[in-house]
Amino acid sequence: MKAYVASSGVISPQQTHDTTGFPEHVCETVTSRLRCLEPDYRTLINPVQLRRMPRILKMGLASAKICLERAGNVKPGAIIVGTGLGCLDNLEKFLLDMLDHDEHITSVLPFINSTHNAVASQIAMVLKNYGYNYTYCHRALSFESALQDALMHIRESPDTSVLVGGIDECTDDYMLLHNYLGYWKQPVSNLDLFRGTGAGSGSGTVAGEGSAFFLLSGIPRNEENVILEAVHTFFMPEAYTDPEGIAAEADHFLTENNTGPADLDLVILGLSGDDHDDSIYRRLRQRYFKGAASFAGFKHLCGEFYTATAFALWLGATAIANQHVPAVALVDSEPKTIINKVLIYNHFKNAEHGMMLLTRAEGSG
Amino acid sequence: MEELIDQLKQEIIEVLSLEDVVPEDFDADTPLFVEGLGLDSIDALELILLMERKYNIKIEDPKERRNVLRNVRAMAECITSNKN
Repeated sequence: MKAYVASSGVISPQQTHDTTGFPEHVCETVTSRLRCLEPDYRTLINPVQLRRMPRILKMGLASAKICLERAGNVKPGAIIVGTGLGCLDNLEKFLLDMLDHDEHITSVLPFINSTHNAVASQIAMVLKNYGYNYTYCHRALSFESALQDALMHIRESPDTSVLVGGIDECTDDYMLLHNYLGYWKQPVSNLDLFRGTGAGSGSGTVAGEGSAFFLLSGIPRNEENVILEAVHTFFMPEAYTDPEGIAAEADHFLTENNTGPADLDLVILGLSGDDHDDSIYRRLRQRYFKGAASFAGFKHLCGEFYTATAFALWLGATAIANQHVPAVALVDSEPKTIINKVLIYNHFKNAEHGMMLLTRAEGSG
Repeated sequence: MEELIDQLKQEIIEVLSLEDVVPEDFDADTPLFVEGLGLDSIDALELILLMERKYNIKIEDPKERRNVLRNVRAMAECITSNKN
């Protein structure tokens, strides 16, 4: 059950939408909330369609189109999206509108565009794609669930291409409500997020958002050199009472894929700057990943959100494709000159845990 | 009346997010639907909502709705007659 990563299209708080490699400049901001750097949508989406689209639909459709264009405008056999919060901004507008007007007639567009599956369906309508269309909403495992579905599709029909993406937006109300729960740090430089010093230390993280789409295929179409080998998810391990639990999950996952920790050239961890959450990564790194070559983080570049691992997948795939990891992503380690195997591991509040294994295709490079 | 027409043109642009349209692009008699501004049924619902919320005018009869929403002048006349 594996798939070639044919192309990607990513809109994130970094300048990722107009490059296939790593952006030359990394955006550093002192903030509690990283916002996406968005393209000029008029160059990607018909202006008539554009006027009715909320921001999240623009982000999703634009990144999907960028991804498909880079793969030579392949017609995908399935469109699968993972989103933790869906079209949250429009949902808020729609519900507030109902409250403000005593549940009488409300504005139509925020209602139409408030559903979680609006992104996947909008992409299908614009592409006139009538194939399988599905949206997974499983909090921080939404993107991983979408990937698992895509891999099952490809196992059934290897010549199918599947467009799979992860997307979430951040809103003012979301920031406010989760601030009460202590989710966010006071404004801090995003690049200091997990350095464990100054404002970057302590509890909380920086919120983020983004949209990342990938075209996956069971057979290489052009010169794809990145393979998504497998995806693994698990829920609420007792990490603090049983510190070996997550290591056992990682070991089981890697063994199933004929890999050991010493085979990994790069481990991308979901370090968020929250001491409590990051202790799980640190413990795993010390106890299980001792033999791995180098370690990287990604949430200081994109922020914390339910589908942040879609950004991590882009980071891992780009590292293999370019045989390079930018220094800004590395965490207390030296880069390796050859990157053949990459593991991405992320958890959200020690509840949803996800792992993805990427390899470099044989004979590539 | 002319002042109300100008105001309505601005409100239509805002409510319907007609980003590339300015009030000078259409006049009081330009058809709003199909030809002219090229609006559709979803826009019609937003304009009905505008009439209800901003001007407190509820038009229940579909035929009358079609007549009132045919252009900006008809909308302005409807608002003026409801004021009197």
